[in-house]
Amino acid sequence: MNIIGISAFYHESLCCLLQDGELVAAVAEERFTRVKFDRRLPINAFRYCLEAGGDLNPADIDCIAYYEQPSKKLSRQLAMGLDASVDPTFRWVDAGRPEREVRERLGYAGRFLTFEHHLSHAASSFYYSGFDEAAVLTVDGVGEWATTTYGRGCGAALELLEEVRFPNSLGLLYSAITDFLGFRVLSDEYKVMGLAPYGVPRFKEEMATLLRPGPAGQFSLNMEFFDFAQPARMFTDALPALLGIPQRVPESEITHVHKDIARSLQVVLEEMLLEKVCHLHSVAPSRNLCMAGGVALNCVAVRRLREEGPFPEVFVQPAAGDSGAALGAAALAHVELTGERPSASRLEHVYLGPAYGSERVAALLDAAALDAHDHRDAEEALLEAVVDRLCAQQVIGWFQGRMEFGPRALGARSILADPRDPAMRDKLNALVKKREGFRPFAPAILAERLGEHMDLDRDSPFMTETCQVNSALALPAITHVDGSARVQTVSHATNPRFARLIERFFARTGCPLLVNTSFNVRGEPIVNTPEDAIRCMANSELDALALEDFLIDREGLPAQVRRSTRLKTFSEQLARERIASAEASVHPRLSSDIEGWRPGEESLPSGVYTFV
Amino acid sequence: MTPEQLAASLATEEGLTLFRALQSAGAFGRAEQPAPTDGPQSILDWEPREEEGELVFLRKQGLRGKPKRLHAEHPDTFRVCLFGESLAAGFPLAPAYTPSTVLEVLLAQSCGSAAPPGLRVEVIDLALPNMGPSEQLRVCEAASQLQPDLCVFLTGNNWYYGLSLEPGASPEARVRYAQRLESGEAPALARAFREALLARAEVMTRSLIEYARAGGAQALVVIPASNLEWERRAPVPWLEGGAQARWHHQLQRAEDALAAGDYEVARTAAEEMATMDTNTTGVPERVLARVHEGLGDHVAAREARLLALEPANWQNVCWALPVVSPSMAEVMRSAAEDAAAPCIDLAEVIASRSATGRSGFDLFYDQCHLNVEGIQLAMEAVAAKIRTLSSGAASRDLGGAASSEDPPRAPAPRPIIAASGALQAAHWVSRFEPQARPDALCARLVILLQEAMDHSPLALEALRGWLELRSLDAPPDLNAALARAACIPGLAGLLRDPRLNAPLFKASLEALEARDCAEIEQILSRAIGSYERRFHEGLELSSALFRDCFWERTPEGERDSDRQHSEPIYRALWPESRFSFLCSGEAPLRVRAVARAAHTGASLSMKVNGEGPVLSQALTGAWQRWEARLEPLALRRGLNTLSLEWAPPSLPGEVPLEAARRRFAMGAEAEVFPTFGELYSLRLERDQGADRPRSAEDAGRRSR
Repeated sequence: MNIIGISAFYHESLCCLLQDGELVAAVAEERFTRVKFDRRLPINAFRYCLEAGGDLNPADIDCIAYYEQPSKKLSRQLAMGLDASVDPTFRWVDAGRPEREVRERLGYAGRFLTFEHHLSHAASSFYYSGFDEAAVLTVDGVGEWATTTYGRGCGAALELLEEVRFPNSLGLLYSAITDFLGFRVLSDEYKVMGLAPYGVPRFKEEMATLLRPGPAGQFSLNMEFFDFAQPARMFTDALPALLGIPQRVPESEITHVHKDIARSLQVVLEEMLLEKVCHLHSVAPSRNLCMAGGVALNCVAVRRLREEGPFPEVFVQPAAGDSGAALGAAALAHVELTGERPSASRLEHVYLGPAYGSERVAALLDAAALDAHDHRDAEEALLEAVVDRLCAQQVIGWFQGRMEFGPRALGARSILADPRDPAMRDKLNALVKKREGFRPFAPAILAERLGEHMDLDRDSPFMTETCQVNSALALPAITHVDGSARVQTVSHATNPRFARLIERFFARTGCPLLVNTSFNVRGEPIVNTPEDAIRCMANSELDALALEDFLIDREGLPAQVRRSTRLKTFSEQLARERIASAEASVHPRLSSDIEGWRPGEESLPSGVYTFV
Repeated sequence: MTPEQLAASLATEEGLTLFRALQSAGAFGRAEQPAPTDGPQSILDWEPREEEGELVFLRKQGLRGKPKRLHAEHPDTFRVCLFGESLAAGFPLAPAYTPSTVLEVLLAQSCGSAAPPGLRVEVIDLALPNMGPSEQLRVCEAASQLQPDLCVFLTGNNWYYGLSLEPGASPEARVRYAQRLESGEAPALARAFREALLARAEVMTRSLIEYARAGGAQALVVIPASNLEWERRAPVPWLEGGAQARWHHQLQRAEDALAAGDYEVARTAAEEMATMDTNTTGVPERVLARVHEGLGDHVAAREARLLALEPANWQNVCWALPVVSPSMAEVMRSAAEDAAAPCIDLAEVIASRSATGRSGFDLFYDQCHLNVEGIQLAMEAVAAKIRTLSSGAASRDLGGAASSEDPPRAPAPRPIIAASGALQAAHWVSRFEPQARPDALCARLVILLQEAMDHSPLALEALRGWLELRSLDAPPDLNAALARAACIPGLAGLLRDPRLNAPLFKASLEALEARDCAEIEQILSRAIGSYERRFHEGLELSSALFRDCFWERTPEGERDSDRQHSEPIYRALWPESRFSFLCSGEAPLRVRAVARAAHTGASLSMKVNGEGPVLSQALTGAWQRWEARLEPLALRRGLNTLSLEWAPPSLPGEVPLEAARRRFAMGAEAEVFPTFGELYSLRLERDQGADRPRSAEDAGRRSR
């Protein structure tokens, strides 16, 4: 049985294929289109999934499962009001669009099922957790109406017991403060989390004014401070007044006040989650907790829940945000169609995207006249060469096998470096990743060496939680200001080449860890193809690139490649200017003949689709 | 009613239709226009600055070249601002050679004897490719800050933006389409579009003149001309009673008759087509023009070609052609006359050059963009007109007409720029133009390429490089050949386009072979090798990379300039679909396809290089797999074309048009053109006899 799961039209879209209950492919559309957070129908991802399923076509699909219920979502949007100043086209008043697009654009004529947003989240965690039974917590900005749900799963059964409804939302609170702090909503919340350890929680009282606890699983936001209907700003004038500073201008200096606000928010979030997890345990007692929803990507909070909460076992779906809800929708469809739970085993890895073999890479390198070391049938030499460079404090692009899905690079499309180098963090931030200097990097560590360096007693293959670094080694590049790290444990079973690389590095240096950050530069999705990897190398200061069995040093990158990947073509100029032209509002003199005309909704500000 | 009940109601067709009707009636309010901003404003890429108490404008590095500084005050300068779209911006010769640069030289040469000594003339380029009408009005309003003496409006080609049935139309616009469909068939939509376009032309012309005058400048309206030799293949919308099948039948009959020189049969067929489509495609009119040309009646041919321009930019499924139609030109002329503004109709300027009124490829690169000679001719007419205008201020009067003994001469571009223009034009034409007649297109492309090589020997290098970049092994931006190919400025778009582009490929080979270009065989071998390697994993021929016609795209592609978010399935909007590839021709290949019919009784046949069919298949509405073996005898070394011929739908147009009307009434997108058939996949593989099992590695590998 072939079931496609789709999430789209909100956050970055994703498509996955569940084949006889086994997840065989999952990939976000952004990786193909190179448009970060691309939320359009995942048509490239869909085609990939069908190909990965064994040369399938749309007639071979038994069901397409969509991750939310459009008409129910519409009821919430309607309740927020019809405001022509936000979007005069009211395109969003079209609950039939997801099914229509799936049928017409994907050429699909079969069964189409929709599932509630938070049920999809819950399923995306529980059915892939390997737990026979578990309590389930989902927390995000908003789905249809729910923003937080408490549930229970057992075997094939999954039920939601209680929900917190819009506008009371921990996710929206976090997004609103993200907005206030001058970062991008639905994108940069993790930066606020990364900023928090630099501050002190001196705004806890103010945060308590914003977020009030309620009975059982409930809590509420003080809506005097928020405005979720406006795309431009998620808060009212009352918020800056409460916090005593104006909204931070994006890209401007980050002050101590900003850091303190971030810290205060993080602390309040953690405390609220802790309280509600205890409530969940009381209504769904279990040793196991499954979590999903965008807030579950807050690995600092997850750590605290694990350490201080009532559930000894916690599973966080690696793509816990909305995109990953496609996995849940597919699983729910499987249960509905078969009456059985999909695979009972835990999701072991996320390497479910496209792969490109060494032969194709060889042809590419030849055509590009790239000077590369050919290590086909000589993996040992490849690994040693990479370790040589890591030990020389070089930054390496690592491109191997099938691409991982989810927001984290986990050793298939990664940038690697020596964590012991005190200058490495600044080098990575400034030259390679081109991002804010305060942001920490994560380590990948051999699973069998975890306990020697981290205060963590279980595998963390998906980087979904943080822990304290307790290594005898100095690891400045991966240790955050509070002594923590967001760790990935690497095993030979799921990523053997990556594990062998770290093993070689350990043998050479005594350090079984590497800095592991996503293979992209700021503003771009993680690379997908070998071509993407080479372009990324050309556009950053990567020292070398391990591209399947080949190793390219920066000197091997011809100057023309560096130039041409940066060159903007005339057609790109045209496209940009056309978009700019289309985005301009209609001139009043023409308004009578094209009244209400607006460009495609993809070009509207994201906020419109965020909260209406 | 609770929000839940309301949402449930709106989730139905009836509920959403009612909502859209109310929305169209303004029940939910309108978007507020942004309030005008105070103080100096930017004008396109001119940014205002105050320097020592004086307002200046600085241009950032952009499409038009070097940064430049302008003072708002210009006591000793006669300042002309030139407004418009890509035509006025000088595509594809810009930024080195543009109407603005030519006009400035002409005016400087031709200041009359009465002009004050020391008077400078400057022409400020305020044209921009792809500019829509709203933006033009804004630019014109803002340009008053430059205090021009004269505003020249060489514009109109893009005024259809936002009016045609393109994707991105608002739900409210769609409701209006529904209303039109209710009162007539698909041609009613074309008529509605035309009415709106003419109304807009009137508003635009009047407004531009008013804005110029409000800023203290005179206005000169220059109506763009069109290339009447331009051929295109436009689809016919759903017609009543299944007439689209008859329309296509008559088109084929007409083409066959034209090829045989039987003009009367061609005329009868074209006239029947014209009766059916009522001037919604321009196709029968072009056939009639060829009939008239065959019979030597050039006046009638010109009339037919002008009529073919009328529907040029309304379709929603293909490249809406930026042109000014004759009726639109008439409205512009009339509006200028009403406002007592001088006006030049470039079509008349061009027509006056010859007895036949020829307006063709001798002056145009494509349907609307003027070549070097065209720009020179147009700007000479504009300069001559300007000289007859009085500035109203003696201190800046150009001094009347220049003496006839010393007529100003338009400057010529540097040869390398002319070569670049011809190469870019060839690329542009091959990518965007529907192929009415592939052979005629190829011949046109060869002429452009030869012209480029005549201008500069570097064009040969660039063309050779372009062929090298057709390799599948590396995308052009990573291919080592890019540096060698980029020896001429302005070719970035051409060189970086990864598509095979069969028409240009074929024309390039012809043009280079005519020059006895060495290395062609070597380049071809490398490109073929890259295809042969891909045949191992399978080459998805239905992707945009291998289609002969870029325009055969569905609405999403229209706004997706990078084509990376293309359609997951290929929809044939014409009875024939062509896909091209390279191969050695030495080994058999296998085509594996997944196709379905969009209508009952459909069938599909496949030809290779025009021979066959190698396969005929009845299709149903469900996806079906089929495959065929391509024998080496049917294949050539080098460029090969796989053509799929779909049976035209016999479905009465009333049925799909009613479905479209209901969709429009809901504010949703809808299609008013027939789809002949659909492909999910058209995969070309090395034929290895029995199907080999796909390995796990294959399964994870993406070839598209």
